[in-house]
Amino acid sequence: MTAYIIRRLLLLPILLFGVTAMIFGMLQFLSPVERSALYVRDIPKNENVVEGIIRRYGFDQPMYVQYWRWLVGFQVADDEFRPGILQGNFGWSRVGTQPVIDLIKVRFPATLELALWSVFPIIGIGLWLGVQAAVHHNGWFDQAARVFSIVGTSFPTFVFGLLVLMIFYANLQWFPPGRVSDWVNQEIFSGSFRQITSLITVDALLNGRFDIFVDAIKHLVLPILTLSYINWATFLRVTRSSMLETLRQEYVTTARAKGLRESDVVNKHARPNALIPITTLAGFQVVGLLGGVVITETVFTYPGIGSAAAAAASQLDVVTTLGFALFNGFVLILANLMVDVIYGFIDPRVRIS
Amino acid sequence: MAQPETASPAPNVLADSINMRKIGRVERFLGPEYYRILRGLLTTPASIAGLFLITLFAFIAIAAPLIAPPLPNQNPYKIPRDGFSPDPKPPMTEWRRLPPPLPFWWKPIMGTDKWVHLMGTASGQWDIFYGVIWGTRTAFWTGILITSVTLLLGVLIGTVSAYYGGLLDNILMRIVDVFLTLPFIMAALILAAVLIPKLGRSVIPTVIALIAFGWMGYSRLVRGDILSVRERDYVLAARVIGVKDSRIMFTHILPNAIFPTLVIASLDVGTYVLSFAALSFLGIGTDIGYADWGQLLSFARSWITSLGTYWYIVVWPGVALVLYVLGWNLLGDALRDVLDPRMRGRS
Amino acid sequence: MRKLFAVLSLLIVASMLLAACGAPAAPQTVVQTQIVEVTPTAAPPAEFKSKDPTTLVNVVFGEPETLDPALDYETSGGEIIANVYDTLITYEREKPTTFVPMLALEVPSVANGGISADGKSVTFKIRTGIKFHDGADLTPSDVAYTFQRGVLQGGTGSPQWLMTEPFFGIGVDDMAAIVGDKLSAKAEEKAAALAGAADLAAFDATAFGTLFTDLVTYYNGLSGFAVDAAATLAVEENVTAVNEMIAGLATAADDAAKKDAIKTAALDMLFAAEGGDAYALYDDAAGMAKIDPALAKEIGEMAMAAVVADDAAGTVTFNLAQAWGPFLPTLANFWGGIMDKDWTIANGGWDGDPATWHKYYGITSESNPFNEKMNGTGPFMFDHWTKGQELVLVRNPNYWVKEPLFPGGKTGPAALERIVIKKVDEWGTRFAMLQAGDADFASVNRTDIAQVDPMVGELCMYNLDKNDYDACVSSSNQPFRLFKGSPSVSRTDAFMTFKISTSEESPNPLLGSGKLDGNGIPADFFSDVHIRRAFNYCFDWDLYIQDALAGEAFQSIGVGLPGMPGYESDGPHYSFDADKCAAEFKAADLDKDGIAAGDDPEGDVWTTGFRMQVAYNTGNTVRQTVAEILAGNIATVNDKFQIEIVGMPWPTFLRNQRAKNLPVFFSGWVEDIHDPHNWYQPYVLGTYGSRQNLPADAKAELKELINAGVAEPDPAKRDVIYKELNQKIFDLAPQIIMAVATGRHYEQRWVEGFYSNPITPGFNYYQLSKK
Repeated sequence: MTAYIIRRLLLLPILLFGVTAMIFGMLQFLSPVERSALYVRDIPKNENVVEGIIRRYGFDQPMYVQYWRWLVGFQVADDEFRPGILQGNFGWSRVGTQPVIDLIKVRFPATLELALWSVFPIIGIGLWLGVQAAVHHNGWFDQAARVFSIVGTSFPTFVFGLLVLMIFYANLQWFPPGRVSDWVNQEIFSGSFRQITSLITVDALLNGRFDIFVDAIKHLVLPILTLSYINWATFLRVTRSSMLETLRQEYVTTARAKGLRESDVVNKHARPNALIPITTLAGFQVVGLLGGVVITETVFTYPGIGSAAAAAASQLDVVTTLGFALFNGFVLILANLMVDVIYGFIDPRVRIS
Repeated sequence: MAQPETASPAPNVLADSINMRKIGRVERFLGPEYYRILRGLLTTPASIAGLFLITLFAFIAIAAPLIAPPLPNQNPYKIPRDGFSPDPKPPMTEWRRLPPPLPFWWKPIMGTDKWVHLMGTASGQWDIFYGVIWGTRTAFWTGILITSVTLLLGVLIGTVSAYYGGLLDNILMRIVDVFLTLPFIMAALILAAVLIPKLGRSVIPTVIALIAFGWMGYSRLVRGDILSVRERDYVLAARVIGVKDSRIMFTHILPNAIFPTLVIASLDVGTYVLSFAALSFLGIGTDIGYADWGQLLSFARSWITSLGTYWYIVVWPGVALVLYVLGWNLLGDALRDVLDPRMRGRS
Repeated sequence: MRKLFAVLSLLIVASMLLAACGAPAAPQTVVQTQIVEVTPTAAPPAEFKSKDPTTLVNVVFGEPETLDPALDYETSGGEIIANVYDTLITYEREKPTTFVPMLALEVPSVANGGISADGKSVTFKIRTGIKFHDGADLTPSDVAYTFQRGVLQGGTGSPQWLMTEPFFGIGVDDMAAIVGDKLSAKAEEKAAALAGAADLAAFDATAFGTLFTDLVTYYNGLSGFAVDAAATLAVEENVTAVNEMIAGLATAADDAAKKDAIKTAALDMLFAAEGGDAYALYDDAAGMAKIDPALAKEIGEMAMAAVVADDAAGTVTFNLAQAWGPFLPTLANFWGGIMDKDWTIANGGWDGDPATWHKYYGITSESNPFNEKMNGTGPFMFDHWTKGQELVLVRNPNYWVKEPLFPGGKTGPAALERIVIKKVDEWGTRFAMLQAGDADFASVNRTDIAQVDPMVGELCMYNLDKNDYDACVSSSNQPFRLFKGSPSVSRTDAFMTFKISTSEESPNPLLGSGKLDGNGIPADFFSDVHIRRAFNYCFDWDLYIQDALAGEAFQSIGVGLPGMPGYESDGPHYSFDADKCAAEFKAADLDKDGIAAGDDPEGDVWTTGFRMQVAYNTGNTVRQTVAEILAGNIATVNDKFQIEIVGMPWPTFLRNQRAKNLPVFFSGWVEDIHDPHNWYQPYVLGTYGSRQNLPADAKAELKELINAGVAEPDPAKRDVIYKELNQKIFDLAPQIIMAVATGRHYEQRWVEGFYSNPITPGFNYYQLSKK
């Protein structure tokens, strides 16, 4: 087990090097002036702006030099050394107008919170639908649930998101966009609300502030609804087929033959085993959510990591994009590792070696 | 031995006792496995609906020049526009300037030769009807192109990786890991954003980006399947008698391993329109005015919250896109159901 | 039973979409943009009450770059700065050119002795008893320090070029320009001395090498650059140059000419090695930090002499390089916000020593300590800024204003306790927040107005004659109030490049074949004045204003804006006329045979036609529309004239624009100060003039007038100068001057006190209140 974990962790530097080198490789396509465009909004009023930017950021250097500088830093002046990523300097995010590391620190808790809360409805309801569909195989529930969930996957996320926003916010005013209401923000910044985990729902409970908890949950409803609806189909399908297979196993038949009630057969005998393969899928899902959900975040102005990363990428903010890529790779490896370990625990047939 | 008084009932007895199925001509032609799949698809209502939708869209794509004739001497994928105003016009508004030719079916039905914006215009006065019809073609050709290239890449890499194994396998799989590190839409976004300044804003950078980050799943799938086929006896036998590596690979292993991947891949044809729509939403799409559902929908983006008045700019392209993807997904769901080895032998 | 579900699957999709869009039963035929034009009598008075009258929420899509008043040069940050920092003088409410004292006791003028007779010295008396948000007192030294720090910190992305020109002379756009000039002058001095001392009798390549090494050593010590003398000498062209120089020495008339030749060769090589231009220190913070401290001190003292404080007398005096008409307007905008000297130094700003400024030069928002720290004297205090999400200001409870700054102005602390500026990129979300009453103000793009207008219940129209809004008219109980028709201070125009870049090795694809063969255009296509005029006559202002600007704009007559000196509504201008357009094309002579194209038997542009590409940066639909209108009209004049419209992503557009590759480019100018100089200078000499490759003789002629205009304090005389300029620019037709759009502002009806001054960024929250 330990050997396995170490082996997976050794993969981390390879992956991170690969993904950053890949991004730098893509940048070969751009000329120095094109890279400086990030810093200029319109045709500059002062003639010397672009040359100044190129000089300041060293965009005219060869790509490997730029990569090396980003990696290990470089001597800007005799008495000034700008550290690189290996010294822990992620650089400055132009799009976020703050250091990349700060941007991640602010954005990631929001993403984590959304991911943690979304996991329950996505997986929970997805599983329930799958199990019921399998139990009523080819019955009306099976058909309806499948069609219902497939319609969800067929929607472009932003269309569905804006639709629910229109209904539940603009018309009904039930669930506002954003992360918390303004009065909560006021408390957070005034210091009367202690931030412990940066996950507002958790902090609210730790502070004993149920009103803030409710407020945060209200803001989470629409993004969760959107994410759930577009993801249910996959869970339903996998659960259903796994469940169907399990229901055919001899031990289930035996259980039935013993005269157990059907609900006991399904819930106590078949379901636990059928759920084992779902773990992998759930793991993928969590990893995906932790990488940020670009469009959902944008539509609901939810300040997560995805929308910031997308803004950086589409405006060619290289430093920020690299920072997010590194962070994402890191989270990905760790989360996958955790999934593998959990998998090893719950499925006795799998022994990680 | 005495002649039996009646004809021997033996075959019937057998048929009665083991409940033998009649094998029809189609089944004999296709073989039992394919027959089962086909029967599964044609008897599941969801897959029938899916097939129907896909056929319908295929028909629209083929007949696009007849349904919505393009302006002469113009790239037909460019949606004609009627002015520049940002306010959408409702369906059945008449064309003001430079209308495209009247389609043949219009006059007999409507009795007039005034061409109208059948589905209204989007913000910027792009004709929605034209965009929806020609967008069908875009959806098909981009889907097919992206799928076939990613499939080819994926199969190639997966095959090489699985067959040679060892260090090469390790390297290739690490490359796959690297490509999977970024979320798909993010990775495609970065590459498209970098390519657009070089190649110009068109469908091409997006297609390239989606291909570049779309092949990994296939190569993993193929690799896994090959690894299981490779250990079969007949492959070992071929190797023992000294058949060349490439020959073993392409005539013995691949055909037996590739089938599930092919099926999964063919269904992905439908999903790329969603990726296009997502990239359009993020500002990295085709050139403005190109007939692409995703772009039409992103024209509608700012108007979705006022659907009461401007429903048409969301509903038409939205319905087209959702139905198209739904068609592929319904078919895909049914196909997966039928193909699932664990489902074999069930009704 | 099962068949049912096949149908069901289709039904669900359909119902999902239809149910969601609120049952669009019948297509409505008319878009309801007209709803605001209703009679005033209809509506019964309604109460509009907000959920929280103490907090104002503004949802926007932009975000400040920095909150340092010396560095920020965009409106999102400018709005915050203007509400937190006070300036010496400010605008009289909505009037962009009338000023009232703010931190100063009076607006200086020649009459009150604040401005000297020659216009080169401007003195402000500073108010006493004003405190910064941290409790420190405002002194004249704070004022002087603010402006000294501003110009010395410089940076080409900052507004400081507006200050350096009056302080140090026309054309000085940054301290780097002064440093560059000084470096060249000193190098020149040294080179002359070295050449003078050279022994001409024994002068050869070795002697030159020594001389050059000496010069480089000297220059390196001065500039902090690392020019390698040996490497420079070894460059092949330079070896040739040295040989030529030695050959030239042999033929020179006298010793003085010989020494001059040596000096020139040495300097040429020095500057070639250093990057070819003396401005190499622009934005180069690291390079500037390395310059000779003595040189730095000399320049620092120059800047400190430009703004002098007298704490005892309570005055600050600006010493200008020349009289500067628009000097007061320059001080009134947000970059004139006064900072506290001690606080700034304590927080890591320039320490006020003339010998150290170069260590702080060219700071960017990445390392600027005042990026998100503010300490002003204004009505609001900075609370916090969560990047990408929100920025919050809170009321300054001790605001110093006891008497209204202008008639009807507020006194005492602001009515609003908190200002929350939320960044919401998605229009649908912003609109939903407006509808829900959670936002008081929201940025509304012109393309989205059709959706908001049906919810407008009160309309306030701008009156161009009195330059303010007329009384608002209530028409229904709808929740929004709309302010409409105020002219903006920006304009998008089309610029034609006189000499378009192209070369044999890398032909410019935008020029087609690059020749006048019907399949391209020559590089000097727009050098022909008739072509430029033809393009002007072929632009359809009405279509542009109606379709791209929703009818809310008027054609701009001349480079300046209405109300400025030189602007006359019947001045020389082009208007859409297809016949005149055709006539001008026929009058062109692109093959330069002296025969107009219309009569040229050998064929010229009218008979051969042309093809070219016009680019716009993608995402900018206004520019795209402009290009399409122009291309469409020119094609109708002659179907051999083909213009293709290409959308370029911003980086590509910028690259091509800088390389002068674009035959025609579009750009929007936003004025910094409401003064004609801020238009004519960039249009002819600066930003655009140089990118268009305006010919030197035309430029020289216009430059004289422009410099005379800016130095002239008398408005009547300025009027005459700028009218003459207008006529000359009309004849030259270097650009298509398009239209000035008018603006809209939507707000909840419970907000009170809005006014718009076109030149100030965003809102003056101090004057606002909520019910």
